[in-house]
Amino acid sequence: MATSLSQKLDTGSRGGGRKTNRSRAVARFLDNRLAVTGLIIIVALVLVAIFADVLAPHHPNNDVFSGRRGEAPSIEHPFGFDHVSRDLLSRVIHGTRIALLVGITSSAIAVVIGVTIGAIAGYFGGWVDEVLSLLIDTLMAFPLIALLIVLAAVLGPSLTTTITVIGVTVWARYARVVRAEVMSLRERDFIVAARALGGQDGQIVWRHVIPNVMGSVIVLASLQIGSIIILESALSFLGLGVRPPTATWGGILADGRAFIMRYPHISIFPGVMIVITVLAFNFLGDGLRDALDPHEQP
Amino acid sequence: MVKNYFAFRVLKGLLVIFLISIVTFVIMRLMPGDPVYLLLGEGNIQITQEQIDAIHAKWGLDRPYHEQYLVWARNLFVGDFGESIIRMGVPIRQMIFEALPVTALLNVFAIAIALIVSIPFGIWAALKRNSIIDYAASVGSALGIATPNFWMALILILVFSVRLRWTPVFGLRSWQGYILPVVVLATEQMAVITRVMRGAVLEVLPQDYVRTARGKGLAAQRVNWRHVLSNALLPVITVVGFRIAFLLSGTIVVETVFALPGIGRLFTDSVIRLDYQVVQSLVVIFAFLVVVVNLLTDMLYAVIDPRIRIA
Amino acid sequence: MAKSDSLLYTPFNRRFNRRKFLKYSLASGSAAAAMSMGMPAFAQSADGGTMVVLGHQEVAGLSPMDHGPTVQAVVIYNIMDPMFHINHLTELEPVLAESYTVSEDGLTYTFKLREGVLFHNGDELTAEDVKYTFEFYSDPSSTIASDFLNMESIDIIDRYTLQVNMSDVNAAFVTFAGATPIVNAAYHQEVGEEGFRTAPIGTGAFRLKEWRAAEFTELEAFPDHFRGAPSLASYRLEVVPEPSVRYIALLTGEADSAVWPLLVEDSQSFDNEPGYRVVRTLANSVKHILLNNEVPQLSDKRVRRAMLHALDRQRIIDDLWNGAAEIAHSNLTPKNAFYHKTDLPQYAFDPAAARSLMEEAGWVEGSDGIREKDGLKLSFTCTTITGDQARRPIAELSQIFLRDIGVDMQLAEAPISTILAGLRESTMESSLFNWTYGSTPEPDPSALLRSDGGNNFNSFRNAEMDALIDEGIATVNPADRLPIYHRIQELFVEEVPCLYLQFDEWINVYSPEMQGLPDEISNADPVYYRANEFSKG
Repeated sequence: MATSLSQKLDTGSRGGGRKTNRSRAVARFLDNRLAVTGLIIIVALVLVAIFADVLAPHHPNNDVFSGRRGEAPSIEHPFGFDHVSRDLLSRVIHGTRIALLVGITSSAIAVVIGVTIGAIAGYFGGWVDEVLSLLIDTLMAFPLIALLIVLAAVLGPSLTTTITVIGVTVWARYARVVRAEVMSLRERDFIVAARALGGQDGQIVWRHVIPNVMGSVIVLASLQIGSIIILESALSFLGLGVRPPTATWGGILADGRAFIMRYPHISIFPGVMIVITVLAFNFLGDGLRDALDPHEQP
Repeated sequence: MVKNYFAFRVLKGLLVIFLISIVTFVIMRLMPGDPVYLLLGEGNIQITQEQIDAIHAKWGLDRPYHEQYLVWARNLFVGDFGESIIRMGVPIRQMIFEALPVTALLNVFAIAIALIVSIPFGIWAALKRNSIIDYAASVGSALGIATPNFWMALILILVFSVRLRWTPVFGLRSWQGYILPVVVLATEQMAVITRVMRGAVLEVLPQDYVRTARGKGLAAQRVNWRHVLSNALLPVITVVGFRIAFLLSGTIVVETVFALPGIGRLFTDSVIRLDYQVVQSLVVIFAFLVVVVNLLTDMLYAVIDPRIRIA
Repeated sequence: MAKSDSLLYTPFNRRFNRRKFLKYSLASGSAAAAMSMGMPAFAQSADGGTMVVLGHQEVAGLSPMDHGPTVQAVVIYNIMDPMFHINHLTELEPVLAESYTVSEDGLTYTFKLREGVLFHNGDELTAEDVKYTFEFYSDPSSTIASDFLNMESIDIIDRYTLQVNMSDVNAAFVTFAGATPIVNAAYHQEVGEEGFRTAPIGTGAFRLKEWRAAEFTELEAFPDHFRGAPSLASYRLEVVPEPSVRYIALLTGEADSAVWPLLVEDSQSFDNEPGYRVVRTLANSVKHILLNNEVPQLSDKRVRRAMLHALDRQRIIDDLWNGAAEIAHSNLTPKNAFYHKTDLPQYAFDPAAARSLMEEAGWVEGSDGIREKDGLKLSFTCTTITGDQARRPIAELSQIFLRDIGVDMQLAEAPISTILAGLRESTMESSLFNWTYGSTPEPDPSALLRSDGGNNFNSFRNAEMDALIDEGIATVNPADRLPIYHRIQELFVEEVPCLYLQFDEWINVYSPEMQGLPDEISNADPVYYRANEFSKG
């Protein structure tokens, strides 16, 4: 499934055909309406996250409107109030920040660990590969959410814990993909040539191998960010996420759960936001895959 | 050679399980807290150190860690999971046997429904590439993946149990009780399987042997079914295997929302209450399941597609 | 000892109402399925029916040791009977005991048992069973050993009489030890505590039919029960963790009552549903923010007093509890009418007073608005229980109130077992808890406020308090105890060991089908212990 970027690779890692390939990929991407929509939504979300303080009409935690617990949406308060009588719109806006922060930072951690370990395992092979593969297999065999629950409980829930814990547990998938690609790359001409010219292993991996797997990694990452956002929500939902009163989508949803009958809007708005965000990342990921992987084109 | 390969895989699998059992044991002991306090309650109750010591001794919690691990591992080896601390004295095996059928049944139904719906749909979407159907499949499956299952569960309860009153709100006393949880789990699977199926068919379609088959003048219909399906099913098998292996992760949240007494809830409850042996046993059982399912998937691959070389 | 007449068999309305049956069976597919199995079962249910009650957490076990949590008590006390109950009117009611006497020095209790009481296996209850039960569960490895404080030995006088000898006075003995469910000695010896926990045998009106800890516990009528055969055919506790789902189940008729309260607003909404009985009682508990008195920031009582002044407790009640609580001004609830002191000094919501108390204690505002003293910031972390969505908002609102006077209370969540351990080992700074005195009017706070108390989560150490507590437990006569417990309350209010918030109202809802409930109820849990008196119509 992890299709290598074969055409591109045949010309060498830094070959001349690269630019046209890239512009072709961009064109393909722009042709994909869903992918472009996804990108636009993500850009909008990033802007919301950055300017949350300006955009949110009220303070997400401190502005408590006494006596308006669970009040339904109105013109002045489009999302209504939560169970502590806070403006829900402001909380959802600030929740965007946490969702993206967790999604992107955790993915970054996972990419760094996953690519490094995958590349080392794939490049060196032999017993190094055996040991690292065992590590990857062990992590993949661990029920992920179970591991997260236990780790969050051990370390005490907080934003840093959530990001770190997710990052250090989801890297195995990257490692597996990268390892497979590197194994096939290893015997390619340009790598063999680099080795024959006396290049250092570390340099070869860094200069020639890793740039060549980044395409697949970016695709995987854009798809993974979505599932990480859901994972964070699930953790918050189970009470093991970011510390209260910080507004997170999963946290708001979890709070709203108890009020689903009486004040359904509390859980509906963050739920919709999660769906939209994850959807956007998925469209983006699919678009990137199609664009970077001409093989699938009709 | 094939035999050797599988023997090697089994050995590696056992090693993975061993590592996981150690990691789980260590992590659980790192968790701050002491299950004994939970037994003693939080109300206006007088508790003495003598009492705490007596209870510790009863559950072997006063012994050094390595001894605790060895005792547990030895018992595990002969199929004895030990006894729950929180449900004082209830054999963990019994707890698991009570909870497992619930989770298993839910997942079997969910995967069955997902396969029945997704395989034809995925193929259809791939054959009619860039048509309305294809878009519907893409958007639908993206939506399925993007919707957090706990949220969907809540919304379904709100609509079908509360407003329409078609389904019972809790429990599994009647078959209707299975409907909503199965729907929630199946949606997720459907989304994934449709996507994989579509991708796999697209990948197989342009390949030479399909073209050759066409060139030989076989009816297009037969080409699709015979060649495409057998090859496209491989990734689907991987996905289904993966899903079966991750029963536990998938159902924790659903079981919590629908109040189902399955494995997922047993697990979270046990983590929170520091019922060490229950957590350790569950993790090891599921790691075992993952290893076995992976192995079976590989063997199935070999059966379905003899061209796959095992090396 | 009053109210034994309430135990008399009362005739119930047993008219079978077809429309109600249809409604019920349609509402619950399960009931319909069970009932359509065959006519005999049908006829039996028509006579008795099943009472379905909802709990919020699993029934971990059915041993006498497990009777603490409400969800377990409402099952256990229908299978087994204790010597005495604190009943639905908060009065001591004899169940298996007929009477008791206590010697002048308070060191000898003589209990007289009812005659002709049968266990589910046909054995008759004798003094031997009581002696065995008391001795077995007073062993230190028992989790309820503290109920038997100062118990020394037990002598059997005759088949139905036994004498308990104490090493020291324990004024709470009858209330606590008396509430222990009595086991069948021979059976318990045979199967052991572990076996008993999963398959108990008692003298109760119901016997265990099926126990699935996390799913349900089903009991069936025991026709030879000493108070007469129950009218209900069966009694079932369903475990439903989600409060909103419990609410829906009550509304659709899938359940008859929820032993653990729903969301306050949901409970209150049943006032407008015809036929439902909404019972409001005062919970015998004090909701409070725990403060570790050993933490340097929290060790000065002026600081603690200031924080109490800073909390607008009425607003917490109105905004988050929909008014269903009253501000706490003591460590004893008004439910404990005899001992509760009403004229204690009160800490009104007064941020100005709070600020000046802080200044007086030497805590001055730093550049970031947080008070400081000797380079120490007035900052601490309040850890609430994971998934405790009902109580956490109180901490969130309190955080805002406290920040207003320059106190930084951070919030965190952790599993209950982690919090309990942290509090007992005094490594946790603060949490949000209820002090519960259960159903009993016993005022002794030794576990909560004594220096070495097992649940002294505030790490509160005060010599005068210790002396008062010892004096109180060693005094038997309530009139003599009264001034001691009044002084304890005064001292509590002076010291403010924790930020005491509110006395909750406990709201229990019963479906229109439930009949035979007591007319007057002041104590919620024990109502469920009387399922032998209920019927469904």
